[in-house]
Amino acid sequence: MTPTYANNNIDEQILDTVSGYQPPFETTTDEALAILKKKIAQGAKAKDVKESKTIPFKSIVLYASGIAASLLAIVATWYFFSYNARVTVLADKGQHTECVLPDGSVISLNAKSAVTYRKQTFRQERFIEMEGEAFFNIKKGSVFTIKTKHADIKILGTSFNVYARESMFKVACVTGRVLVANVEDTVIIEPGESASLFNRSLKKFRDEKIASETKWRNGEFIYENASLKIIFEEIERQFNVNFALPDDVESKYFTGGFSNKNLVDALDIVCIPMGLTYEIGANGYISVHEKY
Amino acid sequence: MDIQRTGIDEIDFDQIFKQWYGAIRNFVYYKIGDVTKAEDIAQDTFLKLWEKRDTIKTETVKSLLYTIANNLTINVIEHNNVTFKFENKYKPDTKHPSPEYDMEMKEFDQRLQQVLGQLDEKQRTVFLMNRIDEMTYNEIAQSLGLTVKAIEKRMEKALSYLRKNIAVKI
Repeated sequence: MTPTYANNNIDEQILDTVSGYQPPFETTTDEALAILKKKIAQGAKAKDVKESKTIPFKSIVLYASGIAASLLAIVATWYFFSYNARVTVLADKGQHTECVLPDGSVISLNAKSAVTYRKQTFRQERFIEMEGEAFFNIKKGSVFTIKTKHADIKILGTSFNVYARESMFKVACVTGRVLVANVEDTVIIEPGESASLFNRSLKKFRDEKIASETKWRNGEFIYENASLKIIFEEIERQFNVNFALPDDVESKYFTGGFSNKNLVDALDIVCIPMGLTYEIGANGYISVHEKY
Repeated sequence: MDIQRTGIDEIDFDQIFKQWYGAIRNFVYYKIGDVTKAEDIAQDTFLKLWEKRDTIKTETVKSLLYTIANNLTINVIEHNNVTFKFENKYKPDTKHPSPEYDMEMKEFDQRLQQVLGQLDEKQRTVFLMNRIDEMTYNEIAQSLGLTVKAIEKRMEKALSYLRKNIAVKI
């Protein structure tokens, strides 16, 4: 729609030039929607007009996480709202991070893992929610509760590893005593023991693999007779890549380990002994085939 | 009988987002000239919409979005004399392109962006919504809760300011 009063050259030149302008945004609408969905999933609240002056930190953090999530080593997003702020600490694909809770307990997060806690009430009630894999070093004190999708874990003061992903749930105790409970079962595990789900019921067992399995904190991933599916999923998370895998991958088992320093090395270590070949395509997409 | 529906679901929300996010983001950018803040405020605008989704009527969602974005922009102090960095897709058609002509066009473009930054924020926002987002006066009036007459006035004032000031050499 060109205004009718544009009847001289300079007006036309102005109007035409401005019509060719594009604001220099770098994210597409779809990307922006994905960012927003992530914020909603993390429980973000829109800031009030009144509040926004007192919390400028939020806007900086939100933007940074929005445009450069993959570039950041840590995306720790603090949402201050009302009296009780929810804090979510997130390690994205290809990242590891560590967080210190208000009581001094330390959590190391593996790739694609998150913990959430309430900042104000944390000291009265040590309660966090988590998903993914994390190593906890809990300060002695009142009961510390970790809620996961599969079971709740209660601790007094210990260190232990939690693996709570879609395909597997396991709590491995390193020091102290850990209570793991779901709707049906309650087990208490001690150092050298792990608790896992077997047909939906929680069972504890002597676990020789704890020392090697908690090495992920140093970027080492060590497996003994583990399903290839679990291993490829870990590579996806560590290197932020995606696999197209053969169908029978779930029924094959692998013993060995890889480091998260170099993708090709990791792929070779797993694929060569298993008789697999791989092809790295664009956008971090890797297809794995049987070797004929 | 047509029953007016209150509240939107996630599918509606996604659709509204896809339809309006670009326009809202641009709108804020025209006001404040800051890409980072504009993106941030646009995100917050839709976050607020999400929170209010149960009470929203689809017919009024457009003006609601502009109202939220406008409110969120109020706290950004720097509205006038902002620096724009528009990408210019406009290629004037000329039968005799020459380096001199290109140079002139480039200068004109730079000068225009500068003067746009000095233009009154309200006039500028309306002007750019019309030129860049190709919104009609009617659509702009509805979005901002103004009359078409007011939009016409702002367009006229904007163009006349740009015309007067573009000639002044830096």
